[in-house]
Amino acid sequence: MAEILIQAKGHWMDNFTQSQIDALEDGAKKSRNARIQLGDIVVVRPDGWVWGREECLPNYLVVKLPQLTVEQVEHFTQSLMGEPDAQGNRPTLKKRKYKIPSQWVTPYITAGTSVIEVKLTNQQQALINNVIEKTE
Amino acid sequence: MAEFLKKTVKPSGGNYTSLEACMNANEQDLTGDGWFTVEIDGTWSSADTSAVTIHNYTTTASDYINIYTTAAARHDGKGSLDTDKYRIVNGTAFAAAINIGDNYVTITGLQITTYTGFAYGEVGLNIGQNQTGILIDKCFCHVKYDSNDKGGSTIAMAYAGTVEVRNTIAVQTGTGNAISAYSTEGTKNINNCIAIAYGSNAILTNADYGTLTIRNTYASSGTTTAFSTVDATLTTCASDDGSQSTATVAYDTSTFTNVTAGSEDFHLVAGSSLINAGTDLSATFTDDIDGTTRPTGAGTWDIGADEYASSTYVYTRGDYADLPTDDSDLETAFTEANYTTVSTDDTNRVDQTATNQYAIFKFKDKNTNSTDLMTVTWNGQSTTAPSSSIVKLQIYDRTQAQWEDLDSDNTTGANTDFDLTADITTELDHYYDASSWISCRVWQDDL
Repeated sequence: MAEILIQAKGHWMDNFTQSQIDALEDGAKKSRNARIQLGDIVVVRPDGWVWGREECLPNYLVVKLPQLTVEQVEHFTQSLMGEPDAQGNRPTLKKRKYKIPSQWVTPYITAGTSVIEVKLTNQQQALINNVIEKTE
Repeated sequence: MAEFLKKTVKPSGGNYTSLEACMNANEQDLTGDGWFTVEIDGTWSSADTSAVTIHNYTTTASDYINIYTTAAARHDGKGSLDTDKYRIVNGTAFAAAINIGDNYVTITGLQITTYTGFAYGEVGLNIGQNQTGILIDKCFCHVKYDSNDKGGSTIAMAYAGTVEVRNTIAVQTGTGNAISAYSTEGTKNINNCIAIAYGSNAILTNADYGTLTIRNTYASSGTTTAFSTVDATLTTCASDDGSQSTATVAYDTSTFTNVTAGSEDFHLVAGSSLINAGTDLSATFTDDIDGTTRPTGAGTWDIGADEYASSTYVYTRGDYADLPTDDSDLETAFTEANYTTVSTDDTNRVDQTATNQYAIFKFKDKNTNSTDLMTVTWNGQSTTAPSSSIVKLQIYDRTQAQWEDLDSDNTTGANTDFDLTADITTELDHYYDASSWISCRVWQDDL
């Protein structure tokens, strides 16, 4: 009973040269390191959600998970955060802590399939089990 | 430089259904291209529950990001959550509801709520370190205490950069601050804001190495001093405890319409000590959280996000090639003599001519509440017979952000009195605004 929006394209900073990276200020370097990645789980919504006109390829894939609740998957939109500073603020190390493996995502992108329904419980569980938890 | 890119965020029919999906999908280098507009529109029966990160854009002063709500999606300016308008409700651990990590970002008219209870760091609106060119206007930000006592600030800013927060309400019901500014090295301005904190200082600043200015701002803290500021310059501010030598003004219904937690309405009441107690900032901005024009001149500005409106009617008129789609006042305001003329049903009239255009009268009236049923009546005549060119009476629907027909006349002859009238008994919340104003207009097409 959940639908997830998955990043389906690379980031414009992915192919920065080292000299471009070196030219960034420290804050911008950290933001670049934290940038969204292919397969990142961006948004979770309940089933039947009417997505926007651009919440599809080439930006996103919509994956329908009718056997899973929003509560079971919404934590996948968390960011990977660093240790708190003196004021208690935590830096964002990665915009998303969790991602779907690219080998699962890429065939749908190649086929131009924006909406995927994973109907079988075991298939949904396999997908969730294969979600990658990023580390720093 | 012109608008380069515009995207809409709507519950249906827009480019995106969440602000995060919009901001994420369009990250790019805007340098030399123009600005990026994000329009949030529509009626929102459910909240946008995705925390938003604005980062990895490259922006300049003329190639900026402008995020705003339309009238249909804009909150009512009260300070309590408006549940049919756009709102971000964030419950993600460690996350700010909105985290601004880029320069030159303007955000206008958003409701932002974060539920805290996980750990330090759940912030309402976080303006990242060293960001410059940031303007937060007409927003309502709320951090709500959940099950833990580790809430972050409702609005947080730090270090270098240029930031202005204006016409904005920050409420903190956890143990964090309503507004905090740490180690400010750049220029920070807090203008005409309201900061309410239940368990800590409402406004906390420390180690100001740059310029931190707080003007026309009211603060209240439930447990400690309202203002805890270091090196900040405070001008015509007020608080419930007089901290930092601010004027002492009670946090109760002698000042604001409602101060009950969860039902706050920070519109000023008649006789409020905040009325006309502020400094004229019209060189910087000219309106309030409702979009109402603030006056000019010494002793005319109010403290807080709302500018108190004492008059109960504003009538304007004009001739236009196209019918205005919004609720803005028309080009010619009624004079006192005009008001006197229309106050009596007689043969004296206020005229509006039009040649190949629309002749329009607009009548904004303020009621004492937002629940009274309405009867709208207009009497007049035209030199152009309604039988040849229809005359319509309309009312402005604030939910749909559009004018709706109430009555019309297409039978009366020229120079003959006729009435337009209507009773409005349902969906009153579509027509009253937060301060109980309604807007009607009468027009004739002379195209």
